[in-house]
Amino acid sequence: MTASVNWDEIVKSLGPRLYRYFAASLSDSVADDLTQDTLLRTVRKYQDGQIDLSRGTIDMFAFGVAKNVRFEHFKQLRAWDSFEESPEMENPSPSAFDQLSEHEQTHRLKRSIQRLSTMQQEVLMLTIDQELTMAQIAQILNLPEGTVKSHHHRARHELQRMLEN
Amino acid sequence: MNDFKKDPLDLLRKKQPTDLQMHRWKVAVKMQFPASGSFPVGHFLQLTAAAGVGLVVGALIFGQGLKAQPQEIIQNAYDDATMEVVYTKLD
Repeated sequence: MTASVNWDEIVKSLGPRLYRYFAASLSDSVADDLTQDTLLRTVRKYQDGQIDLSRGTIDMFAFGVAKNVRFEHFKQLRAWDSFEESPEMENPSPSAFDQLSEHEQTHRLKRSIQRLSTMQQEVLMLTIDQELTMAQIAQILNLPEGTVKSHHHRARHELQRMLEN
Repeated sequence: MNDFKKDPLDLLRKKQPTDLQMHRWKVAVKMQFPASGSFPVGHFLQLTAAAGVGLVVGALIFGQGLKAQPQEIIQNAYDDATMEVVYTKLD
């Protein structure tokens, strides 16, 4: 069973996708660490026979692991009480926003995503990876597809509102 | 300049890890799971080399042992031998 998986290829295809998932709401260095952690946990789970490929693709399992890794990260942050909003990026005026560079726009986008509800964040971040279908996202989050679509719609609406204000 | 009019998430979709990051992840996964889905050639070579060295060392020791054997038998024969001393008073 283990011989059928080429981990080099999996890291090559899955690594960037997981990195984008984490980088949507976290700093690049944290996204880097959490991507590696997710890949290692996925390998370990596979070794332990906890991944049944007849029930889904390895990508889906990896994103399921990524979701847990991200939750754990935020749990630790809350425990350390070190997660603070940066006041200068809190509410930039629309005129000031037009002057923002792409880097600053990305930063503001991340801050806006962080202000969404947990489930909205999760759905939105999984849709950043355009290779996952809504049905797969629903399976990863263990939710009905209709609920996921509804969270997605609300998240997009809310994000747009935050970015326009 | 404001890309949010299109799809704001496109900004995040552009993100790419560096080659160094990709390399680090690959190495980390390899260390975790060295088989990596392919035939473990490294392990096979290590085992073959170890077996070869074992055979050579074994042959040397065994060869020396064979040579040493007759000497040991003679030594043992000397050790176990009883010596009879006959004193003869001639006068």
